[in-house]
Amino acid sequence: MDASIQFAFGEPSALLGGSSGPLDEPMEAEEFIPEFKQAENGLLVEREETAQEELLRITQDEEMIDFGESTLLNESSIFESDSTIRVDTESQPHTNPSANSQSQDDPELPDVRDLLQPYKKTTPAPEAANPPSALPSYRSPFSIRATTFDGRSVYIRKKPKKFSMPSTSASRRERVAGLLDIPIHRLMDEISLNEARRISREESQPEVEASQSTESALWVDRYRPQRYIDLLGDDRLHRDVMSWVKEWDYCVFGKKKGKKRARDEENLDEYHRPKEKILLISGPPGLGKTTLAHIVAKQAGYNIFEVNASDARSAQIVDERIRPALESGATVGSSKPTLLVVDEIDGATGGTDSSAGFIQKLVQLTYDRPKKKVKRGEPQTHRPLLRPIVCICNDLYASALVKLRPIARIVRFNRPNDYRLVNRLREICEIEGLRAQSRALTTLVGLAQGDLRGCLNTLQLIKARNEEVTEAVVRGATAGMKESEVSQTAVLNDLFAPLSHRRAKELGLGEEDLARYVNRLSHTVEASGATDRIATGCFEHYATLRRHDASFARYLSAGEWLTTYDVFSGEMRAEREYALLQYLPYLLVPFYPLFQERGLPKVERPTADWENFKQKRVNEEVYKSLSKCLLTAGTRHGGAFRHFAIDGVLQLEFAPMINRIISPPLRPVNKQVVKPEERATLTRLVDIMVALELRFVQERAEDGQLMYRLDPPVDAFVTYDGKRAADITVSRYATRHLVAAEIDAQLITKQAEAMDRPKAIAHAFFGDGDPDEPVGGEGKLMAADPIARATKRARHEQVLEEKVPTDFFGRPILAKKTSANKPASRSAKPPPPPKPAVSYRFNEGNSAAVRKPVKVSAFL
Amino acid sequence: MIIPINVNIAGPSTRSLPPTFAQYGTDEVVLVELQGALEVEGSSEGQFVGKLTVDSDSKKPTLRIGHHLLEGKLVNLNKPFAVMHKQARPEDVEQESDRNSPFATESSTPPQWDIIAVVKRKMVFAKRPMPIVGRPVTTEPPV
Repeated sequence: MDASIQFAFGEPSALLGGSSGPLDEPMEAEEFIPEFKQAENGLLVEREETAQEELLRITQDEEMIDFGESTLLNESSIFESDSTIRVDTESQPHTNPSANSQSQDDPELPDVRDLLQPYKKTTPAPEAANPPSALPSYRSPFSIRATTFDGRSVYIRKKPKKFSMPSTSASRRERVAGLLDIPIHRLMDEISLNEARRISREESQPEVEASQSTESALWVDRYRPQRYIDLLGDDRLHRDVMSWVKEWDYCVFGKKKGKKRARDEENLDEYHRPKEKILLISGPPGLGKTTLAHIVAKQAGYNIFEVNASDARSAQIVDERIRPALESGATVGSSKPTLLVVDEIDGATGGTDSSAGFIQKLVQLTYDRPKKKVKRGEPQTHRPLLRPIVCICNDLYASALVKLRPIARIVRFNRPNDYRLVNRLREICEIEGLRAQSRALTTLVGLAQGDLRGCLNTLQLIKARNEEVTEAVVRGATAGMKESEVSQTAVLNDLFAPLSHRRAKELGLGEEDLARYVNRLSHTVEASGATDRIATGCFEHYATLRRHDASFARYLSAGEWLTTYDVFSGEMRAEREYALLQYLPYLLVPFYPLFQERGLPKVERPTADWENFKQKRVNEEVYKSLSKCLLTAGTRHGGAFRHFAIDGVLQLEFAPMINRIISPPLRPVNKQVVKPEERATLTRLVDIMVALELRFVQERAEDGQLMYRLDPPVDAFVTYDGKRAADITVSRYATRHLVAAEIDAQLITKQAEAMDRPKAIAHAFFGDGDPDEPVGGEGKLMAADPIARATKRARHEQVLEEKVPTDFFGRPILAKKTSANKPASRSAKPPPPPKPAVSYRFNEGNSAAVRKPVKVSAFL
Repeated sequence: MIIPINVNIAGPSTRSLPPTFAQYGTDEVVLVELQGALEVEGSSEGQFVGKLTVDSDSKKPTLRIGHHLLEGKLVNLNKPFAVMHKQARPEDVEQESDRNSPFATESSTPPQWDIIAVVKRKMVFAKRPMPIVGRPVTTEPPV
């Protein structure tokens, strides 16, 4: 081996070159050789060690020059010819193992080198002093020529080293002496191992901390599903939500993802959006609606912009935050498009009636703007909605959602399968080290009615108390849980239907318990917090139940209970006797024994009360405007109609009568053709309407048809409960048109009279006023006056009509006379400009002359 | 029946045109075509119709009738017209009384026609007349 080495580096001068190494490059080989010389001296370990160190240094240097090969190859790369590999392997059998071990560490080398920093400090400065910038290119122009065993010349690439030899060797000596018993590779292994341990400890440290911190965190958060697969519950429902979100893909991502099956392409619009732009997820709390929305959005590649109960949900928010977020498409600094999640939307403020409510605004977002707005050239203020919106609510029939429901796709969450919930709870209990009887878990799920969140919270509570999960504990822990979340319809259903057997079992109620319903139901009613509304619901519902009851005793009794309730609550409100409040629920409980029946359709949310209330508001508005009209009319006519404007009189006596008065039988004919008696009717009608400030206003209905609306719309009271008063004729468009025209005419004459009046009064002062002409004084009683005037006017008009016959269009018929008279009168007059004898009459249009051959005989 | 027609273009024209119409030739006959009708009050005998002028620059004829000013243009006729004149003969005068009976005319010698002029161009007044405010032309133009 030694011989081979010598052969390998078979340049005697180099071998004998000794230790004196200037900064010159030949040093590479020289440096090698002294060490081997030492090996010859018998210090095998030391030689090995130094060789090892050298190799390490080589590899490190190689690494620094970025050769990126394993050390073995690096070694071979020292030689340029292939055949020298043999030489190489032959020459360094001892070094190879260490080199191999080194090479195994090689991939991690940078790290390990970093780790070795303290060790490096003890090593000579050379490497540290060797700045990377000082490194020459991969192949330095200088190389050492050597001859191999078989006489080939080999070029050994020299290494760019700029340290002084003596210092290295000296320090190495010292170190070597200390390291003799443990080979360097073992040391390094040990160090790297330690380092790896340290790192792993560091990594595990935060984890441990995290797991410790989650002890305080909610289990709900910890076991929240992370992926679509993890979702628990109705798979079809999840898929519904997912497919809706996926329908947006073409609009949002602008591409069709793998079309495995034809989605509903036909209901996509110009932007390829689904027909319903809003998804409304509803369902009882704790079933994972929000989680589903988040996971689906994540899965579909969206970034979630969430507005929930903690945010202010007013109309401005839509304009200030939501619209920008949706229109920008993606949040700043993220490439994912936005998906809006509005959580607990049924709690949004101002949603019901005001047009500026949150939900109203949200609905407006989905409207497609008409095209003409864009054409007008102004910057388009409302761009179309191009991002999906997911709304989440508990109560689908909340009044706030009335506007939203028709335009949204609705997904109703159902209670997931109990056994799956139980399984999941059991898993969690195992993970958390909580001992749980599966029966207790079943009870828990039953009590919580599938509310997984509630279950988890309860379990955590039990865990925090260091108890075992048994049925008794579960019942104790859930005592307060369910009462908080009872909706009004649920209470009504409880009142009108007996408990299902299953639910009874869940609650652990026996037959006797069921029989003692009063406490249970009164608690339920009280828990709903809206006793009044439940009473309204009962009031609305009990009459619709068709129980066979010959004497109606049941209904009678129910009515009595309701009356009592009404008395109580009225008294409570009026006298501020809030001590009565605790008795109110009991007054509703009797509906259970009276009407409970299995298998009835579920009680819907009571709406009649609300609808009637709205109707009442509308009607009151009409009455108010009518009384306002009466009051203004009263001021004009000397307070004539003021007494009608009192509420009772107005509603009971005036409005019903005026409806009949203003709809006399009139034929819709031309006013020139009407018979005198009809004309009288018409005039009277017009006078009344003018006096009472009633007008017909022309409007265009939704279908584009013109119509006359009575203003104020007193004719709303003609119909009651969908039926029309039989004695009031339906006034047709033409009739109303006729009347409206007459009213306008009369108004104009009135104005003209008002202009003339001062003059007339002045005349009256001087006593030369016409005694027949009544002076329109304010103090006069005008009730009879308009009629007198009207008849007079009618007479006057009739006289006029006889005088001047009019043609169909109402123009005076004079044509014949004029044509006959004109020339005569003209000729009779002395013509100031002499009329030319010959005048030219131009024939308009194309000449319709027909050219036809004429025989000469015609001229003869 | 053969009607003898004498071509006598160079024959005596009734009168030469006024000097403003020199461009049409002194004795050329020009058709005046009106889109419209002349309304005459009273008898049309010896009535003054209007004043025909030709603008010297644009060569556009204008015709002023009463309150109306008509603007026209000169157009070549596709087929020239011949202006024929029935020769006045003693028989005609005699037969004037019983003109209604065709036999009388046929039996007698056929009437003689002279072509006294050929009309090659016409003035077309097709536009809507412009009303003229002011005194209408009633007087005879100085010829």
